[in-house]
Amino acid sequence: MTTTERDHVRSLDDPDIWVETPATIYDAVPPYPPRTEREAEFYHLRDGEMLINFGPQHPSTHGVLRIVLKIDGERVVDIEPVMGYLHRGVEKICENGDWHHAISNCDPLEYVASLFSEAMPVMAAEKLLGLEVPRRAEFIRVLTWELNRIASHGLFMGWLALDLGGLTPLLYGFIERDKIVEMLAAQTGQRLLFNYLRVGGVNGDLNHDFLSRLADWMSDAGRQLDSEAKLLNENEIFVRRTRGMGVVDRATRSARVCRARCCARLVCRTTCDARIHTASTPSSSSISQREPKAIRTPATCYISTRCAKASGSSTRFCTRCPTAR
Amino acid sequence: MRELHDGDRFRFEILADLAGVDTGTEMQVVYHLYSVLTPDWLRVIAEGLPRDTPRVPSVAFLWNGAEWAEREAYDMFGIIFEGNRDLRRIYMPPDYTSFPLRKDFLLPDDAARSPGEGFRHVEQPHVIARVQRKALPS
Repeated sequence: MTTTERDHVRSLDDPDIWVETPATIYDAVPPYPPRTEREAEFYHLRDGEMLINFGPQHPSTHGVLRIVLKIDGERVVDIEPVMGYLHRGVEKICENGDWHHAISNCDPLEYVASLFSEAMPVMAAEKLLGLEVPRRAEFIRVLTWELNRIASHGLFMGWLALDLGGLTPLLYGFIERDKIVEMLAAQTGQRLLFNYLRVGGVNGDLNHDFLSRLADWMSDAGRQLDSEAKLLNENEIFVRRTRGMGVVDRATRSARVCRARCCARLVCRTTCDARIHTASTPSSSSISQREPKAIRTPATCYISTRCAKASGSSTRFCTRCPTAR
Repeated sequence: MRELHDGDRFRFEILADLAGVDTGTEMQVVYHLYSVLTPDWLRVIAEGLPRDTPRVPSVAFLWNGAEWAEREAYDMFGIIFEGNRDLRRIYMPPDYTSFPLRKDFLLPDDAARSPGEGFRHVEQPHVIARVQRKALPS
């Protein structure tokens, strides 16, 4: 069906009446004239081109993203992403709540690594108040953040491989992730949306259940993560399909994408923090001493090597680190 | 901004974020820049924009990625970026009429906070298309 032809459906009010389904904003060609230069350019079809709606609920869009594709035969010549299907206006909700409502409201923003999205309102409030977090709370934060990051990266690698057509890495990623999530659930009380950080600290000290689970996991984690990394890094199909893809060069300078590029530096800072902390106060927890070994997920290795390459040496970050004393 | 982007001393070639801010009395646009020469972050704030007609020149010709960020700031705050070639709503539906992150946009449950005011500035449901009634095709 082309976009100009309309179906007739029975009216909801009166089933004897057939109504024409109206052109809506959800169609590939919207029911209004183009309003901007770019829109006019996109909706002007040259010879042999056509528009196709892709999504919003398509398995490969990972969520609800609609993309209007302009295709010429088999080739996609232009795209128009239509966002907003998941926009919830969290800023406004937080604005209308108290400051501690913001913690649980920001939790589901990144539901795979929600301890990080909790950190935003918490650390903003701390910065505004000029609060210094107690040393032990800082330790616990870094420990749980890093665990959450490993879980998140494992899932990311798994989904990436799934998109490339392999189911096995996803299942492997879920093995590790499930252990970590159970561990964090023992610590925070929640399995996915932890709601664990508080302004000025965390909600509760490390408990025994968490520590024993962590020790269990640590005894085997290195081998598991290495095998997971091997599964992808030594897979020729995966390497050939990902190498050289999505390179962010200087000319791109995308506001949102460059976050991914800048985050190489930021992530490295967090890991440096953990290393410095464990090195400076070895008596705090015997488990956290072993933590730097564990933060070697495939993605972290990749980021660290990129980071080291970009900076010349990794120690430079440690000295630049704001919390290094 | 051009000097910050192109100048040999600065080279802030990465625009990490561009956000609109409504302080209640004025509008602001905040740019977070990152230099490729030195690992420095720079925050540039364009402040003092009037709340009724906030207009600011677009930087999309310097940082291509600013186009969408400006669309978001326009969508949420109604800030007009002059020179952006694609300034239309990005998150909200195209027939939406208000700017939801402005301070004068109140949620319905705000009535609890300001008693007696009730619903105010809340968007009315908007009929997106006219339904044409046709006879039953036989």
